[in-house]
Amino acid sequence: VTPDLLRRATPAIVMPVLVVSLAILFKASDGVGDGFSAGVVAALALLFQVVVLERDEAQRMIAVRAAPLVAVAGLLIVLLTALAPVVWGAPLLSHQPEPGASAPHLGVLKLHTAVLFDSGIFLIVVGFALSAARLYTPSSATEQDITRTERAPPAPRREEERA
Amino acid sequence: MVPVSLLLGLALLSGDAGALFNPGPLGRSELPQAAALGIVLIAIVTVVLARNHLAQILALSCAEYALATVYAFRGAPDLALVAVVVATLSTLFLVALVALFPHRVLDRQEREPRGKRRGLQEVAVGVLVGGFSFAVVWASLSWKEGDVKLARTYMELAPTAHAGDAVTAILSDFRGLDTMAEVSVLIIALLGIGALMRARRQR
Repeated sequence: VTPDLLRRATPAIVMPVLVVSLAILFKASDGVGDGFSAGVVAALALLFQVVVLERDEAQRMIAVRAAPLVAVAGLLIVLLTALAPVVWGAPLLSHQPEPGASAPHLGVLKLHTAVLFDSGIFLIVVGFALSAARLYTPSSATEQDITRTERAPPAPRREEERA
Repeated sequence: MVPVSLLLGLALLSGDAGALFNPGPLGRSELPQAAALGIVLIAIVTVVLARNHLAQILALSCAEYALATVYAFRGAPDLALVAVVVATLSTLFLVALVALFPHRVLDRQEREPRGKRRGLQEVAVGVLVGGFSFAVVWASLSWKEGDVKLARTYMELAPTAHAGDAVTAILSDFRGLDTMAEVSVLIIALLGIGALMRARRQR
């Protein structure tokens, strides 16, 4: 049973960490960080929530249920940004706007396709980590499977007696 | 691992080995790195000697964090950040993995006597791979400033990719195709794991 205090503190921990992960993602082009590390930070925040919640609640979390979709959406974004330039005859992965030209920006966030590419990687990492979390919190059926297969081999008893 | 070690070993032996293995004296400013590497060494020995699974996982993550400190000291903040977050995530997943096993299995495995006898083959492979990995790391420590032309080129070219940060530019632009293939492999692995788990659940 989860302590009540931890549950109440969860939003106060998860939300700032998510904001920090977005900061790592969008400031990556000028400093430390990239889509991958930003994705892992965001995944850690959401996994913290998964750990705090009860198993059934964690299974019902929207981020956990949608995780595979998020990962596939990220892959689509990455593939589209990588392959789209081929359509108008440019080499693979030539990001728009052109190097040297000034990109439109929203505060520190420069809007060019390299950021879009990084965002795709961010989504893939978050989706992958949360899908893995879903495998680690099995439904009760798979848990019975594990105990059943475990009960079968009583082999290494002899070694214990010798020790 | 064995063929790679043999090839690298041949390459090292055929080259001018004298200049390669001279890392120079240990400066005062490098002492924190040496201390962090000492922590890594202690943690790895703990991983090998400890019997408790949780203790092993914690010692392993200790080694990873100490290595991240070394990267930070070597002037690679991007790598240090990735190392820290990955160490945290992998620790969490390892603990979750151990928690999936029933207590009895874990207890039995912890009480099992340690395997005393090692085959000659295992020892030979260990010495070969370990020795040549050590040689390669040692050689890379003795690089001089002037040897890293590629790094300087990347730093100079980074602004042409809208990035002030060379690492970001490499990942999303210079070697973007590489990144694209890697994430595709990640998704394929995820699909494979999902399919395996579903097959198991239906059985």
